[in-house]
Amino acid sequence: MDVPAFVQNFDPIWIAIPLFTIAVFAEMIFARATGAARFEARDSAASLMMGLGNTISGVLFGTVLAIWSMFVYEHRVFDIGFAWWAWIIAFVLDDFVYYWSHRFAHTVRWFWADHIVHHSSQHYNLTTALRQPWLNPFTLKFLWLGSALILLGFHPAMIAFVGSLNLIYQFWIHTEAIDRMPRWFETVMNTPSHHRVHHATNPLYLDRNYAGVFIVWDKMFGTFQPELDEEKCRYGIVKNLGTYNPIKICLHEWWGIIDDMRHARSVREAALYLLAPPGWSPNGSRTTSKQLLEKWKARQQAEDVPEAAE
Amino acid sequence: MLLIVLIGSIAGISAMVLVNVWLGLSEPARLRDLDDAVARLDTDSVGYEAGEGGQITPDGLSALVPARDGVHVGLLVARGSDFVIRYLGPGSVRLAEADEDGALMLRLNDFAFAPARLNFGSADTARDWADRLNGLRG
Repeated sequence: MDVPAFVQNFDPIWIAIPLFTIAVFAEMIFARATGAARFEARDSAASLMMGLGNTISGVLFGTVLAIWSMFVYEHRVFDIGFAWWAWIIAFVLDDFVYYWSHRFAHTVRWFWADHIVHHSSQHYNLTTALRQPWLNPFTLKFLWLGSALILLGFHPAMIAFVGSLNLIYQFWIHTEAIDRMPRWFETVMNTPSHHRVHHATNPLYLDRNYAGVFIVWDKMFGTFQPELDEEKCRYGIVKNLGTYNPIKICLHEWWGIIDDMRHARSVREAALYLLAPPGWSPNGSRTTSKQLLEKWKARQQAEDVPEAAE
Repeated sequence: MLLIVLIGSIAGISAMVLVNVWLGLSEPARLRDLDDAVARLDTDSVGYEAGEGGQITPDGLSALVPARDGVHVGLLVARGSDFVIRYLGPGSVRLAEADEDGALMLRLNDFAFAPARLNFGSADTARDWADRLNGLRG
């Protein structure tokens, strides 16, 4: 099958990088002028270093992923080709796969070890968008979720292209500078408001809004939570990092898993340390997102009862 | 080509960080008082029950707040414009040392927590906390 030349020789991410840089400068100036966005120099430096490392990692692991993708494509079910409609379907289906991949990234600790990097800043600005992991292939998600559409018959170059467009879309939603988009847009698309919720550690907001481009997936699968004016977002992770060291940012959760598995008292316990939701522990000494939400709801109810009685 | 991209990226990152510093966008985190520290501990863990004897350092950059259970100690340390919180229990502490300037040097058994310096401004206070926290060493 002939791959269109523009796909072979063009990765939209490389074009987008200068625009990302200009947007970060613009957001900083906006923050200075209005105070409506927050920055911290060491946090930004760490995020940007993580972004650079992610790009280098992409180059290093790229060959392996390309070989695997072509191997899967040789065993494809359908010949979908490069018709114009195939691009649209590929973009939408890729976003659907992204939703599930992202959801697993929050609910299985093995995958969270990689994705936690992106959530590890206590700030929410455009540099946070670039805070990306370095060891993504270690999740092995490319073997199944990453291969599903290729096995179906979409060319790997097409999937790589629409995947890049998906990531570019997600850049601009990492900001506090934009409050709300027009109502129709908020209904269908992922927006800064929806994604702020996703990055927040407020128990009500944990593990919500997994969407990449279309927020409709969250509405369909019951994970949507709108941003509430009375519940201001607090960003980061439940146990925030006390370091700006990129190596530690990259490795800390992997190290935590290894350390837990090393001390596990059975094979089952070791497996659960790897595969259970983040925060799981055999003796309940840690807290998962669900448990935090239950505690929070119980307290809300306890506070509401006396108020209602007054 | 890749080398050019790498050099360009490093230059871009440096420029963004320098502009960040130059614009003075960051305000250092400061605790208002002990109630502020307790409220932050409670917000993070949903239901932190503070006991007696909590203290914030005079610079407002850190605090130690024992839990009501008599075992755990809530720790807040400013990192840039935010606080990092830890709930210290048995085995959490690697080493706590007081110096003669009244500061407490604290190292945790926590891969992602850089050593912290809590400046109490009193050698006696720092020593008391060091003794207490060394009881949580593991």
